[in-house]
Amino acid sequence: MTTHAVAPTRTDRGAPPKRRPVKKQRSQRSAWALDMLMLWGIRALIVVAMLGLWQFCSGRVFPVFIVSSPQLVFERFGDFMEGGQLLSDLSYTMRACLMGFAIGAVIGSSLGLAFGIFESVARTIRPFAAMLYSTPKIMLAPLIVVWFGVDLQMKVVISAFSCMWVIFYNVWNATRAIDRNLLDQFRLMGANQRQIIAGLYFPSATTWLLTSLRVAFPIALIGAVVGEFVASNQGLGHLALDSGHRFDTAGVLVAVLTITFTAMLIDSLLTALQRKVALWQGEGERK
Amino acid sequence: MSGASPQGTGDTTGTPVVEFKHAEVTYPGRQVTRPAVIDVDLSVGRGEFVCVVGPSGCGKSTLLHVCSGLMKVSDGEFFYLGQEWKKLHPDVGYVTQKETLLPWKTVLGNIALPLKLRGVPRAERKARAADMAASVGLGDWLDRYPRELSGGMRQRVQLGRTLVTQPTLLLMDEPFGALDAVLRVRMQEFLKSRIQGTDLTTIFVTHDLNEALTLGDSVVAMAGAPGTIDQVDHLDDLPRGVSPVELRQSPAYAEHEARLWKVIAGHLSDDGKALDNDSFVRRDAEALRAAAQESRGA
Repeated sequence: MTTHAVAPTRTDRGAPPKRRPVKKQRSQRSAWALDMLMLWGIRALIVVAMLGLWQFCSGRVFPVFIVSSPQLVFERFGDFMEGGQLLSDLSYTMRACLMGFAIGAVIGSSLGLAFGIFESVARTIRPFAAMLYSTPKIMLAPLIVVWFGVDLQMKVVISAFSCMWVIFYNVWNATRAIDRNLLDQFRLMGANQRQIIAGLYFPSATTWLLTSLRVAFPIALIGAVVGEFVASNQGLGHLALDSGHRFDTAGVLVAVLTITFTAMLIDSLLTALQRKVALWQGEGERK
Repeated sequence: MSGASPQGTGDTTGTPVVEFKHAEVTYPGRQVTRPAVIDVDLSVGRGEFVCVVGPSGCGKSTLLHVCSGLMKVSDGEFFYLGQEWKKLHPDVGYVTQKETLLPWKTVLGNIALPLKLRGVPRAERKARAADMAASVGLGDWLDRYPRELSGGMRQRVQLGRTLVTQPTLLLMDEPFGALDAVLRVRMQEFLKSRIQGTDLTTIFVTHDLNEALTLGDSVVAMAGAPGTIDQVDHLDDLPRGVSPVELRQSPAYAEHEARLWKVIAGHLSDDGKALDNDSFVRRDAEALRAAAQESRGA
């Protein structure tokens, strides 16, 4: 057991090789471009094929008033745009949703952070939080109408109340997932409570917060739309509901598609934000 | 240089940095409380480099926790710089086996962190951290994040972060355990070169006997569950300033290795873990404890 293979060691103290992150070569780059072109080409083909099938079936296989048709949807889109109705509905819904989202994010993350820091409080309140988390929040809508009326603020409240729980649980988990060793290290380095919160809890929670924002946004949107379903005379939710009452399938679809594309846009903004802030995490998630 | 002394009777010039007296440490909060270490007597003087070896589960890390002030002894006494402390011990640097760099801070930011927490002004801490980064060989990597570094480099960042505050006591818990053999030898040489000529006191936990014999002024062998100090070897007779290969070929080295190995391996079960309650080790430990209590009573 005394035969130890000892590799010859240099005594240059292991000066690091000046290695920059590998840059994409030109040939790699064009291969990548080709790959993307293919990908998007195939995606476009799928869309065209689906729209074609839809247009074909409409009126031939299924009655038009049930499935509508791409053409009708496009026409209805034009109608709604003309009077400025669509944009004003969109802005109303987005206002409710974004305000609710912002309020929910602030309340949710502050609560999550507070729970993480004050463990004894968290231990006491935990079952109540679990109860509220499990409640289908939109069932509280009638109550919220009683408290806040039928105007914009009712939708903001429903939206905020729906989305804050995801954020709350994510941020709380982030604080609980903090490595014990890291916490010890901070204390050994002489950090006080304030420094631990600012230097360890906050940055640890940030990444989880950004992830949870992406999950929470669609929920905030659901909250806002449900608020409009409950009581409203404007907004995309109202537009969809109203069109449905008039058996205007195309109108419903215009409302749904408008809100979908807007939500996708906002989601991609959140993803970009996540990548930028979490630079240290790596390359971020790939599409 | 006194060398670690099990009875604390060695010639300690000045107050020892770390002193255990009949110390017992028990982890709280378990249904069955069994001490992690019992009857530890150890005294480490300023500037010494003590390596602690022993099988997993014998309480090596527990000793370091006590030295840092993160844990208190449940019985017996512990002194840091001649005093009992209520809070964490000041000027202790602790390098854990598990990497504890902040992933959102760069090399420079990580090394500067303890200075920042101590309120050192921005310009000064940047300069000091950059100096330290250069001296751990990472001068060209200041703006990189930990994920961009290799395991060895991350350990050097940890070391830099620990040394930048010029601690009195350096605790290292299997710091090179995760590195490959070649890198480990390099890091050992690197550590020695950083520490030589300073009066930094180091307690270095490892399960690698060769590492202990290469680095230490003395080697403390622990064994048993609950663990206790079984043997202390002073390495004054080893040739110094020679290559690791030459060192390992010296007769004195083989002698120490054989002796310490016997201590450690004598308490190993087949799976390499320290033997558990039902084993003879327990009886050993019980006997030790009884003997110690007797001697204390006397």
